[in-house]
Amino acid sequence: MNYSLSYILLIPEIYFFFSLIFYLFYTSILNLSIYYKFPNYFKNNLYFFILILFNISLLILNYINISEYTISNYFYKDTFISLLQLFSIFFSMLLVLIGYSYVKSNNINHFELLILFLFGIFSLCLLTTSSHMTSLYLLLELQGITFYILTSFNRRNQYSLESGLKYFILGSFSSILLLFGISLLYGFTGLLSFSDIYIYLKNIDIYISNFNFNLIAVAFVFILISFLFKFYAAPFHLWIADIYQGAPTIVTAFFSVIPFFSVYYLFLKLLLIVFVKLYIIYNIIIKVAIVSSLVIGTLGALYQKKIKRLLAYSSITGIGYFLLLFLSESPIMLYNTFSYVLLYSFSLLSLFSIFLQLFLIKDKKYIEQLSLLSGYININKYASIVFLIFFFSIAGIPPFSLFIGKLFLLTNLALNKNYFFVFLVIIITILSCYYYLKVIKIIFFNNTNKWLFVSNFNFISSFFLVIFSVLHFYFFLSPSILNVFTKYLLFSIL
Amino acid sequence: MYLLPIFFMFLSFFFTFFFGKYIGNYKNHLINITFVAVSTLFCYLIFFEVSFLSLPCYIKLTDWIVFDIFNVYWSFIFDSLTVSMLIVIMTISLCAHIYSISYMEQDPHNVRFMSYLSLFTFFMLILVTANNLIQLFIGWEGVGICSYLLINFWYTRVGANKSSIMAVFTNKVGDISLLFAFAIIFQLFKSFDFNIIFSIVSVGINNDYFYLNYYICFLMLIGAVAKSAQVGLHFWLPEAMEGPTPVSSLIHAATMVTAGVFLIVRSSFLFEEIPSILVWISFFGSLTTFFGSTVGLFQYDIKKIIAYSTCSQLGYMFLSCGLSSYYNSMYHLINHAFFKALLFLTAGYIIHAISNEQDLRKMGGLLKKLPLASMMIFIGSLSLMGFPYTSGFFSKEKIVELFYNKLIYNYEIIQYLKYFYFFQFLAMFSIIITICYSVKMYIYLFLNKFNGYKQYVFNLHYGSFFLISPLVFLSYLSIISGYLLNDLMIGIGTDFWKYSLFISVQENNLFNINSGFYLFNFEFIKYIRKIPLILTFYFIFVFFVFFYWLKNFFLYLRLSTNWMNNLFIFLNRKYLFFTKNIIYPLIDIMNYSSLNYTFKLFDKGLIEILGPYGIAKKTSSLIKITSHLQTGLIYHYSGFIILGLISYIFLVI
Repeated sequence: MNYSLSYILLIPEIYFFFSLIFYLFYTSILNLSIYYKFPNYFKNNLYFFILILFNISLLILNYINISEYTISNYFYKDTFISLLQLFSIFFSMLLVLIGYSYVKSNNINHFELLILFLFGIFSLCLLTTSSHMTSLYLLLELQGITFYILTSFNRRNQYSLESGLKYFILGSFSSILLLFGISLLYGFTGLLSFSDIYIYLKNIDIYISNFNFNLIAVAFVFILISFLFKFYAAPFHLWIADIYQGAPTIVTAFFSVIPFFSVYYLFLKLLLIVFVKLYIIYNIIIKVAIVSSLVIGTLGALYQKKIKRLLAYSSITGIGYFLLLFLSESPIMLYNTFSYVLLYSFSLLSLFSIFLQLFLIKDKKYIEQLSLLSGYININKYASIVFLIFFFSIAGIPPFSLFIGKLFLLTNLALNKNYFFVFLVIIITILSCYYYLKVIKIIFFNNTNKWLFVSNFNFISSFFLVIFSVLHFYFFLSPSILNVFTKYLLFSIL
Repeated sequence: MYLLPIFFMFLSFFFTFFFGKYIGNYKNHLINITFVAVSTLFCYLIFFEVSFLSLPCYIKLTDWIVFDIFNVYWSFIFDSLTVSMLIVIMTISLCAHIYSISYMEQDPHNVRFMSYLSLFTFFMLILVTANNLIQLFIGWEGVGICSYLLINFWYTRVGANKSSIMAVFTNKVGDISLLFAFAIIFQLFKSFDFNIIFSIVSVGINNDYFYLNYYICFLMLIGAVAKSAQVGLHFWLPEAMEGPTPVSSLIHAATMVTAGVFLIVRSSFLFEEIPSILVWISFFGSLTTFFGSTVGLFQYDIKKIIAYSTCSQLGYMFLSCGLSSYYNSMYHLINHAFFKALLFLTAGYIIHAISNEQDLRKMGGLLKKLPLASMMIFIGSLSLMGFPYTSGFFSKEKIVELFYNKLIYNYEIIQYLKYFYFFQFLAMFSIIITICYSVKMYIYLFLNKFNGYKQYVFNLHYGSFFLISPLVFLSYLSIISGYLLNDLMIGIGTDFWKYSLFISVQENNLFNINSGFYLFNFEFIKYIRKIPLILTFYFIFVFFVFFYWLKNFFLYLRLSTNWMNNLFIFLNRKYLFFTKNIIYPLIDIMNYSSLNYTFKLFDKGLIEILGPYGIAKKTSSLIKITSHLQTGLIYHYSGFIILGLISYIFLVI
């Protein structure tokens, strides 16, 4: 433990904060100026946005080889955390670039959108570094508030508003649980820093001080449930479908792809380091969560007719896969699960980036019903092939990336003799293949008499889509490339 | 240089298949033969470099599957074993290519035929040069597919369709058992690389699963039995004679059917560790020699006689492997390839000449009509019989003599000694029968009076240069190959094979002159050596007398008693029990059990209920429950959260 006041480690985040403030002032003064008649410089703002993120990623790369605490135990930074921040930044850059056409044609190209995105990314970047309950709570709240606003960003659409309100109420409910858990913990132990809690729990003897231990367990359950809510794990999953459906697609893409690394990393850190003593307690909870998320996510997705609801349920199933990590003791599972997380987020990003392009010219809206895609092969052959690649990948069909992820997970489970879960995962995978392949079937084999007027893909998005589809092959052929990133995870977690 | 033959054969296939039809027969054949000839030339250069200059070569081209501990590379091995196969394959292939220019002249699809031949040769090269089992399996399956395509080349004939399907199915049994063997090998050795497997086996690591070695060898043996048409899985080989004659000579005599023998010789490191599996190999080998020769004796289709003869000769190769004399097996393989290809091609020449008639009884007196064919059949038959100083003499007789070695020296398998007497009897007896059918075939073809239709003689037409030149070339080879390669391959103390195959120590000492330790060697006992030789001479004379001067002796013998007639029918119908008493009941049992148990109980019963049907039915009811949860009301959602919270807390405490 190193009580260092060297703010230099946080220079990327500090730079981020100041550029954010500057960006906020700049855009609000420019875009709200009466003199210029409320100009909409969204494209310029976008370039500015990209520039800021690019600078930050350079700064992060500059300080990548460190592992130290800063600001009296509030933040901790190491190589893997820097890599996670880079991933978040890079993915959000890609997403905003690809979703530009969506933003424009949906008339939500206000400057506030990018500011809110920046706030979200900032909170997530800092969240990964937090090593103190206070900073954890505050940053989670910052992230949450950003997301509530983002969800209801399309204020002309009442569904968007409704889902924003829902998200706000339920999200603050879960935050209350988290805060309550933290306060209980503080009340029983007087500790908030991760390292302090770890040391305290390490030295406590379960069999002697039984009473105290149970209380800590209750506090921990509150914290755990709050996190499970954030992950939309099964009994707490109910909000996710409505919110995915209501929010603008780019926002949906944003909070299904980007926050995941950071929050999941923090969750791992809490469970595998800080509260590792309570393994026997959270083990059963995690098992229940796995089974229920796998089953409910898959069953819910089976007969969905809308794209975003389908993806919402499939990400619930995804959570079930991610939580499988806690079943096994081998550190290789860490690698494999994080590789799976990366690949899964990448698959989701690619899927969203293709759905962000499907603009119906006549109806002036984006495709939401899956049935509208019928006969899409006749309209755009190459895009259908890209569809095929992405859906095959996320379904885990061999020559694509996510097959490798699933294979590694299953192999690890089998090696740890978790045969029940192996069986369950296989059944779930078969079922999930059904609803992923149903989309492919609709695209390739359904015939309609109607003409579907879908806009062309713009250059940037088609460029990235081609790169994504090549990468889906590439990760299958050489999955060991992911170990370049995940090998730092061991140093970071254990 | 080492990869050029393979590359050229692929180029030959590729060019002929895709562009051959546009440029006409003449140019196509020119280019195709050029590629094959260049490839052959390089094979001889490789043979020279690897075997004479003692420079075995290992090439790791690129990685193919690199995944966890499962590493498979495109790696090639060029040791003595490979190169001795290479020269056989390429020589026969070149002959078959040249021969089929003329033989398939009238066929509208001869370009396709040539391309298939090239593709087959390419896969065969892949098979013999492979340095790991997966690559070997590519070649193994590739030659199977090419065999299917070539047997079924005249696909409008029902017979061709049937026999090609039969070939594929019978080979599939062997392929599947080979795949099982691969699985066990991977479990045991964690690698498919020959170098790794063989070195681990030789060291003999102390592994719990080491007893699995037996199963590996047995499954590999079944694969080899199916490919090499040993008894039990032999019935595809005579049926495969439906294909064009160059195919029979290249694939079903010289190269593909020897792939099984090649596999056993290649994995001699595995087989040598388990003496009891060698008894199995000898069993298959000796039974097949006996079976093939006895059935061949009573056939009247000229190609089927030669096919059964191939069966029996392959049995000799197996037998030699079973007596752990792998070099003898390879030596016989090479000699056999030459004289059997000669026999087949000459048979094709005769069939071509007399209006595609294949029945032996409708021929005869062709000595004056086709003198060249008579010479070729004469040379080929002498080699097959093992007449002194032809190639069969050096290799085949030696294999029978090997029993003396085995009987005297190998104490490890002393409990199997009684079987070996039996095997020896079968092998000896089939030498006699081989002589019998060879003499019979020669007399029926050339010395008897002509017995066919008038039109045959009127429409008699002789082959062109392309048809005859391979015959002449092969006839020279089948005379001299035994003499040339004798000392090189099986001479005492030869170091030709080096590390390409492995013979366990006590056997090896016999031939190890440098150590000076050989107690007793059959090579040095005059009288024992002479037994097969005397048998050959004596029975050539005897059968010549019976078939030429006492023509009706066998007919009267057959008609004399009912018992004899039944024996004739039994042998003529290829051992009835294989079809009537084993195959048909087996099919009935399989049919019944598959309908009642596999289909009704499992496929439509348990698997449906636990599998797709049951799950589909269950899920649709579960979906309703999950969709009922999704009300869209905040107080329901928050209620669920609280419910979850409370239940979890109670779960924990």
